[in-house]
Amino acid sequence: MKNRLFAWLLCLVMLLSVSAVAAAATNPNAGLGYYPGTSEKGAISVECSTMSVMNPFLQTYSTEFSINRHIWDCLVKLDSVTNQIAPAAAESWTTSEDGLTWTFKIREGMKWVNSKGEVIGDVTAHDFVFAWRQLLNPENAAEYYAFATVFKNAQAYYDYASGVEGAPEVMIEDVGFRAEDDYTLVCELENYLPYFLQYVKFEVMAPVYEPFYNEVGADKFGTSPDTLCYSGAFYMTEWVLENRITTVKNPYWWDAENVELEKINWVKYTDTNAKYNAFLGGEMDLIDITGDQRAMFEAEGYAPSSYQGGYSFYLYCVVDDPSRDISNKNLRKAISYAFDRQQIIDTVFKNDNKPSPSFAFGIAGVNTETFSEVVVAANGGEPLYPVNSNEELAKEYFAKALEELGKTAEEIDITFMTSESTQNELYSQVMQEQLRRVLGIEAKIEVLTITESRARRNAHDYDLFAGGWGPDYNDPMTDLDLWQTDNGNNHTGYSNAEYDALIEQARVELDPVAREQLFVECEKIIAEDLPVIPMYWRYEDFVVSEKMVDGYARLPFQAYNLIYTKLAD
Amino acid sequence: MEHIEKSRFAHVGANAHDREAISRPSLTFTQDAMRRLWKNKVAIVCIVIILLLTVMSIFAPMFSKFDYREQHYGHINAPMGTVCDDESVAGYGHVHIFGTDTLGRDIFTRIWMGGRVSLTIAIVSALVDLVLGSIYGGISGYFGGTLDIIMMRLLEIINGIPYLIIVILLMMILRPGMITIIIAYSLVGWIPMARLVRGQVVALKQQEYIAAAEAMGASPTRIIARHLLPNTLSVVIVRVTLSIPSAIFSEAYLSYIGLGIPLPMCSWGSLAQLGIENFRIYPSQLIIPAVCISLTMLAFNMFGDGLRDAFDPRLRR
Amino acid sequence: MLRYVIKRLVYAILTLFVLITLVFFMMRMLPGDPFIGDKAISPTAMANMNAKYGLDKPVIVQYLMYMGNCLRGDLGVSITYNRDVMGIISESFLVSADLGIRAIIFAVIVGILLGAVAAIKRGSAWDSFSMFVAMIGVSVPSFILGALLQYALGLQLRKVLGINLFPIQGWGTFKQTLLPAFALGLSSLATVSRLMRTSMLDVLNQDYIKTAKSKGLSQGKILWRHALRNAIMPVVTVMGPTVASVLTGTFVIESIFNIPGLGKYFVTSIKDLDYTMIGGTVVFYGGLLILCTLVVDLLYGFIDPRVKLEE
Repeated sequence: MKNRLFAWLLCLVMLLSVSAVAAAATNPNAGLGYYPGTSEKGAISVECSTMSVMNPFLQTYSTEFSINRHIWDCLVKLDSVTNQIAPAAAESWTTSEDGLTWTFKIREGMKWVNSKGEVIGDVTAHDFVFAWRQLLNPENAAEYYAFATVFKNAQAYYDYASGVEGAPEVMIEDVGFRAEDDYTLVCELENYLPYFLQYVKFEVMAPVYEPFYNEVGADKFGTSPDTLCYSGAFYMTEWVLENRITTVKNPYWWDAENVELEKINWVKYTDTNAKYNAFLGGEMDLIDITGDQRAMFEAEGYAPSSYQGGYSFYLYCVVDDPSRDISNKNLRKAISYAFDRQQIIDTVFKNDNKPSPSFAFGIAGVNTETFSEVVVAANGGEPLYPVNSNEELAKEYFAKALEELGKTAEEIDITFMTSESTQNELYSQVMQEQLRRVLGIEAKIEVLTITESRARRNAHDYDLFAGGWGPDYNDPMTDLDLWQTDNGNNHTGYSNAEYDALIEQARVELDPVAREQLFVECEKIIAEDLPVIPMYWRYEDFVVSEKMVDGYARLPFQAYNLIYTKLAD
Repeated sequence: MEHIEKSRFAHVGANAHDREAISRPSLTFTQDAMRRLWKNKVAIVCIVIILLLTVMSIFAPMFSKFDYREQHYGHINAPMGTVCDDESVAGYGHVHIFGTDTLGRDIFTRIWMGGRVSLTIAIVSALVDLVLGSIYGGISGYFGGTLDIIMMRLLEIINGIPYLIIVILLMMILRPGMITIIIAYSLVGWIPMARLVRGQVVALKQQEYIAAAEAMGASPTRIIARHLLPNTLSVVIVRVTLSIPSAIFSEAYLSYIGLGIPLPMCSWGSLAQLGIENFRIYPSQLIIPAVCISLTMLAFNMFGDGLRDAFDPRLRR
Repeated sequence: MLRYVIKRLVYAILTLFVLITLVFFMMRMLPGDPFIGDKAISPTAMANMNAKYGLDKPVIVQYLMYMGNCLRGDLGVSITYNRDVMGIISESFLVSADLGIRAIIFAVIVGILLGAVAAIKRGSAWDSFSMFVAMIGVSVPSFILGALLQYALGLQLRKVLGINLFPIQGWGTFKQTLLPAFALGLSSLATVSRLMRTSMLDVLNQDYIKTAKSKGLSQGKILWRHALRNAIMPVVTVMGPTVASVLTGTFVIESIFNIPGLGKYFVTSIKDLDYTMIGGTVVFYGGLLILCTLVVDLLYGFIDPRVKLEE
């Protein structure tokens, strides 16, 4: 028991250390006078890529969660400056000694408002209970229901209610969360979980006001601003599907006095040129930009910003199909050494993306700022994957591979599978050209729709497929358990008993340093076996108009946090 | 009345040689049309443009010192007329006439490689349109009645199926590539042609010469092929020249949504698509392929107008 | 006449039925499944999702249910948006139709004027000018035209004049409709003006124009009462099928100008494999297309007495 508490404390330390990565956002261009931004007073227009679903418990995209964050308050939230857990709907919380029971004190006086900004009720502990029950209701088929399965009996209830064969009877009342009174919420966990608060901060866990939900009906709930009610810093007044969402400051929010912003227009674009023109023309205040656009801004002396969401990008390889050349380990190594990762970044992305030194990215280390530093240190200070092409090693491994395969370089058959987008296509073409130049491989490129490419990936019907992974929580496990034999996201057919054992060991290891060492071993095995060829860590570029001076945040786990944005006068 | 002496006249007699001579050369309809076409300066200019584009597309990539897929990382987005100073490549010391693209590839070479793809797609698709559309429209129009109604409804059904579904399904069966795109385009591209031919045939079949042919016992195949279709020619030619640009458009559209020809091959559509991303920064990367597309469309359209004028019987002298 | 109309209506319904059936089974052949995401989903959750949208039943049962629902005017719930397909289509169609009607009005009025003037002043500078405009409309792809307009008129003109005459993107105000309507209308304008010129030339050579002239009617009256009216007929017939596609929006123009129209759903629904949305767009577009063809065929009979509707 003591050990557990220790681990939990360490976890807090880990979380604290993340904060070092996070930076307070201040506009580097404020006052330059180049791009003053939109003209509407107190309002900003911000690009937001996907906003298809606004029913909180059915959302799946990080940009949908971003809007969610502005219009509802979960129990806790991530601070916009430090990126640490901070109180939100819950004023305070206590945890039992064994870490299995958590009691949240809900902030009193919070109001539900409708799309007209009228108060329609009080936010209570019951709203969280109701929302989480909806999340677990099989009829809603929420994709992210798993976030509620941390509670006692929740998975058992979900299985039983879904009609899984042989599942014992469990009632919703038996699931481990209940409202003790209007302002006290008690949660019981299924297993000890050091980063439980990271779960309740997750946006699908937002509260839902039951009387309102019943009034509009389950079918209609969340399909328009009028069929939702809000408890966050803003409320939604307009939603044009696939085009824009307008949110307006909620004067009844508990911290409204510190919110300066009156209105946020979330605008969706499908054309990169259009949003660029819109920004230049003063119709937008924040947009994501391409590398070439970034160069344009820099040439003008206008500094773009960049942020990292912890996404690691790599090539999936099918490793268990002898009929494919790519299943040859030496060929994969040759390919990995042949790539000039920095050149790919400079040519295709033209931004701050980094060649992957290790697979896991954006994760805090136990005693270091990032886990990756530990991996690199364990590898003698060298990154696991070369930054520039290592032609000698590449050719050496290639010769071995050719011998094993009994083929000549021209006979090697490799296809890059990619989903359609200009950037993906450029990316594939540079990799293709590098393989041709260094190894003499004539690789092909197959461009598919995103759905088809995923289907082919899941069916192991590809050679190389460019994919990326973003962390769900701040622990190397979120990245490294992917390559366990039975993991649903291991689309490579990779199976290594030693690796599986290391991951299982890490699940029960309580000493954080020893646990971290297990993960380092995992990283080394990946680098040796290459079920995936890690390529780069993604940094996303964006520009902000001079209207937004300060207080906005784009951080891991919170793609946008604009609540406390300060505007230029 | 003055008496005219008979002796003042002499019988010349028939000259077997002269009698067969024709003062003006006899022209078939086609020859006559061609003659008029030659007199149409705009049409001739257009033909020259089309030939020029074709010849360049065939030969320019062969003689270019640069490979269409070769990436020069030292020369990314180079402006027009940059001299290649990278000693490691074959094109060292040669000029990137149209500059290079975002991956440092020679745009001049790529434009003509793209021309091969775009022009091939355009011309082959137009021919497929012509053959399929004429036959289908001819049959539907000539027989009329219920067959006509059913055949026309079939067209509506094909038209109603989303194009993208057809393309994606085709790409599953066939390898993505030029042939797939041509098939994908042709599957729906012939429909306007079929409608047009049918409309013409319906009007023409009331004519007396069709009744005459029928009375003489000509088979429907012969009537459609020998009497009806040749008379729809002038309209059909215009439509064919219109379907060439629409095939290029269609390929460009597929490039726009990312389902074009296999990379690193390119087409004018995909080049323009790539160019448009950065056209504010590097306008030439958009303007060059756009001019090629527009020039081709313009040339085919104006040439089509010329052909129509040449083949219009009312303008025949 | 009535019999013909009824017969055609029956055929129209049959056509739509076959079309829906065909598309229903074709879309099931598309690779992938609608719930496939970047991250894996547990089999239980997958089963629940399938059940929610009725995808757990045999395809033939789904088909029968879908047809039954279609008959009752229910197009189902979109998988991507988790809301009523009918609602999405009617909302976005209003936008597309609004833009489309503007584009068509612009194309028809300007196209007819240009074409008529070109014919009347044949061989003059006017003639060359109007044909030049027509040629631009035909030969510049809309995605290039749209981007150029946005840059030249939306951005540069604003810098020069200092006022926002042509907003770059968005939807809702009259100003915002100007550029997209122009870009959308230009290709139709080209067709209309070229057709108008040809048919106007035809009409001006007719005997009844000479008769009118010899009666001493004024030039304006001849053009207005006799020439223009007769020359417009072919334009009307040609515009029919174009209307169906312009009204339902175009993906390219909508994405360049960021307009919340119907056009994008024809593309995105297929890419996302949103079965109900694909079905909805096909039913809607197919229906409109069939209706437009029917109307044009009937109009033929009214406009041109020489065409006999076949009984």
